[in-house]
Amino acid sequence: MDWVRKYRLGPLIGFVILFIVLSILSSQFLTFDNLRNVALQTTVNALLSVGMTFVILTSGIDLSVGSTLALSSAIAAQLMVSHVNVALACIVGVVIGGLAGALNGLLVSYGNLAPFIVTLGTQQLFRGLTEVYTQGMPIYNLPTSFTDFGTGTVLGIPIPVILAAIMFIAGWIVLRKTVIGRKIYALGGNLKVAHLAGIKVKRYLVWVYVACGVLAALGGLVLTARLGSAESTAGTGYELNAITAVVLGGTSLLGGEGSVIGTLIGALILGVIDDGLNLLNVNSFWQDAVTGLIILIAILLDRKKSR
Amino acid sequence: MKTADEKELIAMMVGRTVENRYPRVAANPGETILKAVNVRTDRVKDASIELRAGEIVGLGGLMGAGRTEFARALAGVDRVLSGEIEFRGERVSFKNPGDAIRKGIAFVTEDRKSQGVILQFSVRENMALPTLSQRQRMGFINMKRERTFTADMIEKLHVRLSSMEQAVESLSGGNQQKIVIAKWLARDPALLILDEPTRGIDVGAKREIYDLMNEMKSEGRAILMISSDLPELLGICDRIYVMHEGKTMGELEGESMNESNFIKLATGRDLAWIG
Repeated sequence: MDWVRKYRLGPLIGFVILFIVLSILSSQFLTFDNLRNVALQTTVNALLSVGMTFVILTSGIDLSVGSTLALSSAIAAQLMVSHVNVALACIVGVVIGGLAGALNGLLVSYGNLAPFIVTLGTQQLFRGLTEVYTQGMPIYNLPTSFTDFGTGTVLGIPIPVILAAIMFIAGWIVLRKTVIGRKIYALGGNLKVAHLAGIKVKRYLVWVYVACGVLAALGGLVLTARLGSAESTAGTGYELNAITAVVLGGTSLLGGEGSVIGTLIGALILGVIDDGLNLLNVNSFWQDAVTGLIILIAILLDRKKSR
Repeated sequence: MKTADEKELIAMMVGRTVENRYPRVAANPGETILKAVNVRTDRVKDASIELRAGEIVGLGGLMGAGRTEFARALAGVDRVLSGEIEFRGERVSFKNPGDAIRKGIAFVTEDRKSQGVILQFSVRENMALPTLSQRQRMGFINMKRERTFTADMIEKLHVRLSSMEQAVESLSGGNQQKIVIAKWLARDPALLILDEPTRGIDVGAKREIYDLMNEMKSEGRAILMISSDLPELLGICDRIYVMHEGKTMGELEGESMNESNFIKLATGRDLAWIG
């Protein structure tokens, strides 16, 4: 079993087993339409969890991604219904996400505050600002040139899925192949060693949170395009799904260890569980309980592994 | 029962005789590398030092005398509040360790496990860290060069391990220390500051570290060694500065470099005849 540990195959094996079991239990599971649906359903969480992986690798956490998603998409949607160019509105939304992330990052690094506390605060702050901005009313009648993004396909693959795939590949390249990625791992592995090695740790931390905010905003745009409206309550609780995907993927909450590939598998496990339980007509109240159980089992296995 | 003397005891521990515990290489000091005058930080009161190329200089004193703190100031870790530091003839004021590193200062910290290496990271990842930018193109790491580089350093420093992908925490203290020294040596520093480089490592590895220090000395680097092991300090260094309560009390060299003078300075008494 050493090679399972060495190449961190635990999450993948879990996913494959789940996949096989569901294929046997439900005849509808292994169909192109269903798998495409799973991918589509996973997209928003997948985008959020790429950013979350970066943050957790630095031994941080970002509880504000759900609120960042809501704030950035509300602003982008409002601009669209005010007849601002769709592309420009999307860019503004992404910038808002980046700024929200920058606030988190500045408070964590230069403010020397605990990420959990900072993002607990900004979670409320961004949600509150969204509610003030929208007055609690959904923003709809979005231009079709925008909603087409959410529903359109290229070669049968939904555009949001393609976007998420690009972000995963980009995240993987940055973390595994670049100097920046290596430094992110290092500062999560040991902040003092990284600092003494001359890495500008504070600057890096800010950019990591900015990236997380940008990805949350992208997730928000995808969600808004698919639903055809932006709501102040959008993305509530999404931070927990993202954290779950990261943890299921084997990334250590202590930082410095993990990968976006693991996170992708984690996000897919969550998506497949949801879909499978639906197909099997399991009461939706049970779905959360089952997901929770699977997380606990994954953590227990992980703990045994590290001993 | 057979009794063993120190030399035999060491031979039994390391499996070979260690001929000279403190090998000494004749110093041939060159230009001044670092000159610090009246340095004050929030934990150093008044410290001065001068280091030349091709010599090993000791920094001694009792626990809490401010040796590590002085070293941290020289390496850009702690902020210098007043005083002057000149490095290779240029007035410097480091804002962070990165500034000092770029100028050519390497700092091997005292606490190896929490400040020297990232324990759960591989030997390769640890060794590569301070020199990442030297093996990159457009921000991408050249993995082939990184592996060659690591293999070269492992060979050069005789690090004993089974694979460069091994986690550093699985290595002995001596081999961990060699990895810390290797990663800094890779930056080709003009000045190496070694804070307690032989603490917690076995006699054989200690000897290897001394040999390494002598090699760096012969290469014309300046070395500043902090140590609480007085025989080691007296045995390896060409000169010794002694600190007491945040101040450098004086400098011992040649004839004056002995235990009793050291203790006088370390306990705050002055040596009138040193001037």
